[in-house]
Amino acid sequence: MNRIEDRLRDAFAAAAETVQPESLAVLPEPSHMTRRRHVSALAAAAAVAVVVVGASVIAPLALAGDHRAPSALGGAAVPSPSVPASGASASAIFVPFVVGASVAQAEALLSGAGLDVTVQALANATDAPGTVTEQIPAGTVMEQIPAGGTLVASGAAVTVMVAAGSGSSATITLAPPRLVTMAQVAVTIAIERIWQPNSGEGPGSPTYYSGVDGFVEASPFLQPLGLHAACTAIASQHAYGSHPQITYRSIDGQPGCLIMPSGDAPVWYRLYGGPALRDSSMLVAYRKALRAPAGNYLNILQISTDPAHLQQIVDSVQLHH
Amino acid sequence: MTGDQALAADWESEWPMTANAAGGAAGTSSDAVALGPLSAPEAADLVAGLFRAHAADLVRLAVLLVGDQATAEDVVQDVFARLQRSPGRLRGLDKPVPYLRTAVVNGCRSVHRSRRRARLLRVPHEPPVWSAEAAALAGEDRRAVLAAVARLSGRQREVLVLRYYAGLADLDIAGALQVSRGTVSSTLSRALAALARELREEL
Repeated sequence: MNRIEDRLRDAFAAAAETVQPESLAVLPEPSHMTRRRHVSALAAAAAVAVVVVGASVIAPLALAGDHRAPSALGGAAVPSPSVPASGASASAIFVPFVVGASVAQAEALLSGAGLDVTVQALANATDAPGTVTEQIPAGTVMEQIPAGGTLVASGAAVTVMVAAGSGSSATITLAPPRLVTMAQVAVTIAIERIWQPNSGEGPGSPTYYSGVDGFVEASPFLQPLGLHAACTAIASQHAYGSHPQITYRSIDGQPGCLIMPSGDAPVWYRLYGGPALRDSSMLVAYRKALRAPAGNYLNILQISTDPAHLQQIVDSVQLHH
Repeated sequence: MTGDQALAADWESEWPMTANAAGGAAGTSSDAVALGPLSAPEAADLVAGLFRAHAADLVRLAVLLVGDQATAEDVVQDVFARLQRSPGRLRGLDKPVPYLRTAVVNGCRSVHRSRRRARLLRVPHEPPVWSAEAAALAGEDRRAVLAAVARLSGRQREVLVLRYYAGLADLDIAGALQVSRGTVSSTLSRALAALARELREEL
């Protein structure tokens, strides 16, 4: 023990004491937090989606028994049901995400959640032009219907499509990329046919899709200083490593930039393993500012994806606004 | 929205952690999370419980790394908001506390990065609690010590806080920072030496 260590302990303890528990009480409960401040409008909308199932009211992600929840909800936008009321079942559950899991993991998760699982071999697309052949570990779940995150009644049927093959790997043939429109953020892009929407972001069209080999997420934000400031700011985030590469180019006729991560960038946390993915991004300036549901304006669209899919997505971007 | 908000926002891929990397011996057994199949409402309850139990401690830890409570709360909120959005991150973690701690340290690092940018954009943030301006902390010596810690490198500051505030052993610090144990002990001795120089004190 020496004096400087004692001084450190004392100073740290005293500084930590300045955090008053009373002031912590104003922290929003997690259910009302927003992950990204720049998409807070969308997330806030997600937090107030109220679903009526039979006689019980379920507020997704709200805290059961939390007396503060209703008033916190009251301050936000008008609740908009994102899932239609379903039958008389008293118990509703969210379908677990199983794309990318092995069929055994998927069956355990889904039946453990009280769902009725059907396993189907993924049908190969053989005749469509532009098909792509890939090697995937045999038994990998490639698609699930309904998608993970969908609210269903307990006991509902879930079908998983599995890459079937003899031995350890399966050869699958996939149809070419499909176009998806993310109406909420006014863009259409081409993604892998087997990617699934993540419906967890609230009402409106999904803005996040992922599959075993990649992901894409669109998030608009406001950068009053313009595209260049947005690109340098995003590129300096930890996700892109110490030496990200920024390329300015036109995207769908609008000023844009591509951000590729350097080799030291962190890899995406993958729930079920699978290939390690890094973040890359494209940013494009909307033709005119997009009005968010909360009434604020957003001028830059960021689309994050894994580096292998960045070019395909950039080339397919169509802005609707 | 200020530039800082847009800038500090995206930590999406800053979680290169696996259950192993986030492990460590610091969590108590009552924190153990047995995550079998978990429905989203159950996961939300679990995240809410973790928030109630640990948010205050995590904010205290973050204050020491970022300086002010408002920013510290933002960091901790973001960590929980991410967990809530993807509770699957908790799966396979038998000890959530080390995981949360690592996430908060990573979040604090992002703050320092975004502050470098924010400085260019002239976005103000709260004065640190140890500044005379904030007038939150009694004792000139404490303020001097904390100001000296703030001038150290980020890694050195993290090691000192985890050792002398959180009281973690080298192995747990290594887990929280995702570095080797050897790196922890060498960083720690360099940090103490640098601090002694700053404070003109013999080790």
